[in-house]
Amino acid sequence: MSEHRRFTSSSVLRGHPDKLCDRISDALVDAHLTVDTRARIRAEAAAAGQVIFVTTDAELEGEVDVNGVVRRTLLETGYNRQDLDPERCTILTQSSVMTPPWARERQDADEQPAGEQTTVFGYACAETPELMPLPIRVAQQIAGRLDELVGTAKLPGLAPDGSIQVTVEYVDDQPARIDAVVLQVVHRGSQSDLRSAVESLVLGPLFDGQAVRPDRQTRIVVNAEGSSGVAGPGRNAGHTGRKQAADTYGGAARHGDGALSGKDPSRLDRCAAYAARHAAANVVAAGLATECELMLSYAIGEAEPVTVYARTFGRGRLPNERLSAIVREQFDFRPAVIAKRFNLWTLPRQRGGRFYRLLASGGQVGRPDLDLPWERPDMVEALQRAAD
Amino acid sequence: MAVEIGTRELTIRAAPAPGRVRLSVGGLLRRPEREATVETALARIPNVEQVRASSLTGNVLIVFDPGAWTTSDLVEAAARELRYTVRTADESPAEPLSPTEADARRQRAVRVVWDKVPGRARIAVAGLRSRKDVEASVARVVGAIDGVVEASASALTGNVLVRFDPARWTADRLAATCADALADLDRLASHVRTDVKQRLNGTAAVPGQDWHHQPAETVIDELQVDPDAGLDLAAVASRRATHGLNRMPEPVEPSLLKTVLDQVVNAPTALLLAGAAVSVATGGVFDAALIVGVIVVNAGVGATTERSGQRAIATLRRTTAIRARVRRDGAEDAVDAEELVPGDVIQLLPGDPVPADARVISAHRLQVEESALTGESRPVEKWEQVVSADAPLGDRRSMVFRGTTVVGGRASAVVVETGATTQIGALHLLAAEAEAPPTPMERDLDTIGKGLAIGATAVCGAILGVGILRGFPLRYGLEIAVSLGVAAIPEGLPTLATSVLAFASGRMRKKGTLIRTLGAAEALGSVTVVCADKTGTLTENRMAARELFTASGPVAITGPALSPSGSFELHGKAIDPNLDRAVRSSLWVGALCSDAEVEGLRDGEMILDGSATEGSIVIAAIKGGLDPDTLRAAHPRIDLRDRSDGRRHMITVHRGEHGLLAMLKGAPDEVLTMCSRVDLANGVTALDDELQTKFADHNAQMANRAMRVLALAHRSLPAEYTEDDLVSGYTLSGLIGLVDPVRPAAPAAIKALHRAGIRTVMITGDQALTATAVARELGLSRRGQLNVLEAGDLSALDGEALRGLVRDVNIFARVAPEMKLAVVRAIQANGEVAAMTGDGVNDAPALRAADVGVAMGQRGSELARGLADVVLSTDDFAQMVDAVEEGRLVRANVQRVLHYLLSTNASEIWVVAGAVAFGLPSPLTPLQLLWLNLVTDLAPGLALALEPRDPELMGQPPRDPKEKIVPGPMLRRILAESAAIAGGALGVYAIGISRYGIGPAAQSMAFASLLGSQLLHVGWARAGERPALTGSHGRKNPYLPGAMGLSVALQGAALFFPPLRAALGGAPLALADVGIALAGAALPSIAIELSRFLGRHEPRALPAPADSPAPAVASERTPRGAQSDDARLPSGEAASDSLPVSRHASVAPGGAR
Repeated sequence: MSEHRRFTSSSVLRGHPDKLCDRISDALVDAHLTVDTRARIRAEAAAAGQVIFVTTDAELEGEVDVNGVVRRTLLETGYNRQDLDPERCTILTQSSVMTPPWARERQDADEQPAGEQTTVFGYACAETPELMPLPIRVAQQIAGRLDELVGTAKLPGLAPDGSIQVTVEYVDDQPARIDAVVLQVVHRGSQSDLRSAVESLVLGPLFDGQAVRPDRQTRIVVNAEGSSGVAGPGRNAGHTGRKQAADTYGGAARHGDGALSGKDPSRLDRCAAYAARHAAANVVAAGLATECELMLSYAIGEAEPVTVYARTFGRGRLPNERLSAIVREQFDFRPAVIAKRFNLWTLPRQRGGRFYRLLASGGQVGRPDLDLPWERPDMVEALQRAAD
Repeated sequence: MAVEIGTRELTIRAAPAPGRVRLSVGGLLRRPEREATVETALARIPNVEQVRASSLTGNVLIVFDPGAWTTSDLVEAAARELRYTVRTADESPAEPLSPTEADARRQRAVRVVWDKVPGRARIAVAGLRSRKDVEASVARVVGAIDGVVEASASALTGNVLVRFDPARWTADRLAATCADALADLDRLASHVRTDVKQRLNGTAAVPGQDWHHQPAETVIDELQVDPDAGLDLAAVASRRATHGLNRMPEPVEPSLLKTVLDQVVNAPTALLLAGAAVSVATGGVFDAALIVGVIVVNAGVGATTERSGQRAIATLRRTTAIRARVRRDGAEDAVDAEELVPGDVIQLLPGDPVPADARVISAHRLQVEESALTGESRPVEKWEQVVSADAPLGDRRSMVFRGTTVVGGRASAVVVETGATTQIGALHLLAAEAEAPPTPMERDLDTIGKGLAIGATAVCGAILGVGILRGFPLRYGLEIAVSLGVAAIPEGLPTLATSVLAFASGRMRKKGTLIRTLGAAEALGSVTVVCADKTGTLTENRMAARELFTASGPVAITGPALSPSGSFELHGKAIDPNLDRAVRSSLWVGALCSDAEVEGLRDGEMILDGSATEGSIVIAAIKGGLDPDTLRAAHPRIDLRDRSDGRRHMITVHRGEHGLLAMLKGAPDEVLTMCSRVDLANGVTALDDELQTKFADHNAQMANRAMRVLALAHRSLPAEYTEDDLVSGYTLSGLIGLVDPVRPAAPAAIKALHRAGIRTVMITGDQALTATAVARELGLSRRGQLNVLEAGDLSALDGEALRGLVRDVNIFARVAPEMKLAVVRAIQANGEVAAMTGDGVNDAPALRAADVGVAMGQRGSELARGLADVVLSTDDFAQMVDAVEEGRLVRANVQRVLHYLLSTNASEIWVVAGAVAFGLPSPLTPLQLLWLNLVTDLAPGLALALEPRDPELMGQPPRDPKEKIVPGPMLRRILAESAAIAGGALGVYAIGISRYGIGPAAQSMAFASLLGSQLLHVGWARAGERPALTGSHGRKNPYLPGAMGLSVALQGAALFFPPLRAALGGAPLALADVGIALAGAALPSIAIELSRFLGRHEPRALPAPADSPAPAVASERTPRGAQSDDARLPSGEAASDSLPVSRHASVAPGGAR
């Protein structure tokens, strides 16, 4: 008797109010690190109606045009006068800027201890080539394709705001079919245009040649309740860090309680989450497990994590204890080392000022399109050697 | 709210484009109050993007999403929303009136009521009655008719009173002209009112027609002018008759009578007059005369002071007339700008002030500086192309506006609006709408006056009643009542309060600060927030080259913006620009590749011809020791590639000693691609990737510091050069960064204001980036944290939200002129006292609405100066600090005077009431009381009014704006201390009676004792709440000894000079009696000193980090680093004069964390 279960994950378009705030926050991180690769920055945004509230807390040499970054981000996200006027909306910024203090010298040292106590999780599974759970992967891809349609003639009237929910049916823990795809987007135009565009431009090309794909029973629901006439913060207020499941594994694994967006690489919420994903993905890629969740906990004042705990849900070759020990031995989880290993300080400048903002939509992990350092299976051999 | 409209029909007027439709709405025409209702209703329709209803046309323009609606569906929807029916266009509405009929109506509408005196007439205007809203506009329109001296309109009577030149007008002819000018009263009203309303709300901004949206040819057609020949003189004359002179509506000065009456019409004066009447009735004509004399003197002093202030400002307002180059009858001529009429074709050249609102018909690189109107400090390029209809004022590139200045290029334009209908004229009207509230002290003094009058009347009545019950004769009872009335009213108070203000304004005027209303001096002292316009107030509103980035690094250029002095500093060390090849060649390029010329030097500042940008680079070259004229003479320019659309650089070719040189200046991204080499300090190297990145990065850096950046490059050219040679092969010399520099004194001034607990808020039309850079330099925020609100449209925020925001925000960026007013109002709504400084015409409404409007006098606009309460003649923001200190001193001194006068007067009441209570006759005659109040009190009071500055005045947070001028504790102290003084006098009176029996001798002893103790009390009034002898206060009052001496001499005369003594009803005193009286005077003072010494509480702890300005806020975040200078607040004994500072609960939004 085979076991059937359904699992659902959601993602949102890049102009969804919460995601928009994430994007603004990360665009500010990009801007600060582009001006000064050793800048410290924490940026948060909230949006409601035509008002965007931004706080930045920065230490850097140089200046950043905060409002300019915000307005450009709105424009780039696809907003226009109709929903959220990038030119004329009100922006309230609260910014503290300090010239870098003593902390800067220590930041580079490998032994730089954790500045906060935090627990983060990384996860990987063998459901997709990206080692991501299928539901969130599909939801992200649908969102990404819709994002590309915003502002094009292919689907006029599509605003950059909406959410996508994907339900996958698992048989014996293997994804077997797509059970439902539910879209709620802001579209000003006819319902049938939208539906046919979703089918022909989004779902069709996406599932073409895929093993797991919608079948006759799959429910495809597009704007079941009609469309809201308003997109963006005019519809719903937004805030940085409220879409963490969509940023990570769609609920298939645990995630830490700190937001990823709006933080410079010295912040463990961000860099340790990447490191945990890197380790988990390498464990799966090395064939040590088909599913792995890694927990990292840090204590203030210590560089090494106090907890490194890998578990494989009974789907690994090694006991969890042994695997945890191997992972701890093979990966250096000290905060400063992580940031250096992944080039987290310098990537924005290397990539022309556009790095973190791209992570803000479409997921911060499992992104083959971005060539992310924490997605590279570069520890596979080391892990295999250690396991044998 | 229900829409109640006559014909409930909608007619499609036009559907100019998909997504736009213009509908005629029945009942909207000439009903401006319905605009908003219609707009709100239609905006509810989904997918409608914009709705603009106009009561001028009766139409509404709807912009909607053509994907969601067809035009006809939308009209149906609109009809449903308004509960209207749709009428098809062919059923046209009633025929408009034929011209003659309209004329006839017009004639009936205006008639002469009275014209008995030549040059004067009263003209009835139909439709004026009970239209308070059009009153002012009617007066302005009539007043603007040539030959009319003065016009005042009254909505009460429906008449206009006109004074005119009888040689030019008869009353009837004038009435006919008025009829034309007022042809459409409703239109006039709606024009003014909707406009003002919309501007205040920040909705659809600008008045007048959409000239900017019309093609130039259409405008020319509409105005019936030949652009080559201009108007003919007949047309000019007829248009002047209709449109009047091109002159700004002038604020009306209050008449002398009104000024005097303002001084006299108040409760205390009424009571004094009643007292005088009673005196006359009871035979005291001398008393009555004295009382009336007092009133006259008070009114005179007050009115004179007020008047002289008004006069001073009138002279300030007078400005030189501007000239306009106009083409008429085919010839070009320079005329007075007042002469312009719509349709005139004008020429604009650099340096010209724009004389009227005009539509550009042809332009060559026309650059106009519009900061006075829009607050945008960078010059705007203008052209003839049509601009979209809803463009905000600053984006109307096809228009030039009166009040702005041409800074570059040239153009011809056709005048479309003159006088009051220009943008700036509308602002004049707007400004007239915003009323300044009375200052707190004015209100308090008024309340005190009323309270005293009521209290004194009540006490008089009570005593009269008691007296009658005790069987005193009525006459005697009345006499006592008058005595008390006289005793209660501090006759000297109005004079002294006015004098305090007058002295303060006199002192300030000497330092170049002009106080226009006396209330303003005091209001300055209670200011809790200073809103400063950035451009021109905190910055110099000039361009200055501040940094030159070369391969060696960033070179700072110092010295004032327009001065030839200054140095070049690399890494903080001065360098010789001639020894550094890169710096030197940068300056060469700057001097040669430029159209700007230095015309001369005035007051140490260079006078420039040409654009501010180029000028500032030329000045940098001069600072570097180059002489541009010599350089240009040695290298004559032989070729020029100017900037153009799509080309953001400029190239000049020069002939030099060693061949041809090309100089290149322009946008860094463009210039960098044209360069292959870079100048070094001692040589040249290839522009490799690394250097390329270095320059590009630094360009971004400079831009982020709000600098305008230009790259400078050069190359040598072959004698036969090609176009290709001109666009490549350059050697990059450097990047030059230009800023509008911060005024040198401004940072210190802001620091001083912070020390005084006053928050500074910057309001600017500029971008947040520019404003933030300036704010950092100024130290605007004391916590290293800047809160910036960059609002495309503040009206998107509701009032509550804005009120919340203004507590915390340091910078309001990109604020439209009308929104400055909203910001000031929101600050005031939080219970703060706001000062607003500004210089532009766009600041005027906010200046007017602020508790204290401060205008910059030197370069400030005429309108701003005319409306401000305070004018700073030197444009120096630092003067603001001095003005605030002076304002605080005013309050402190008024309090000293009040303390003194109220306690001496109260002691007199205690004495009279006490005596009556014991069944004794009053120890003081009414004349003695008047003598005490006028003679004893006046000289010391005057000295107190002149008390000098307390060094701690600016070390305290501002007082609670709600605190009364006589707060509770002070009032209790006054009552207690006056009771002590009265106790002494009554004691002496008792001893006197025991020695001499009831009669003049005992009275005289009491009188003498009271005289003495009142004089002594000066010391305690001076000290405020501190002990007078043991308390430390370093300041000396130079006027005090003289005043005291004079008073003592006069008292001596009253006691010992027989004729005077007799006149006052006193008796000679024996030496022993004098001793007793003096003891009676000294004992209360000793008691007061003791009580103050013992009751002295430790100086109120000043709020530790007086970081949070006055009543407002401050988020709870710990200040990281950025130790403020507030730590230096005085902590010792010092404290304050008297004012307990209560603070509002602080509200800390604290940020979204």
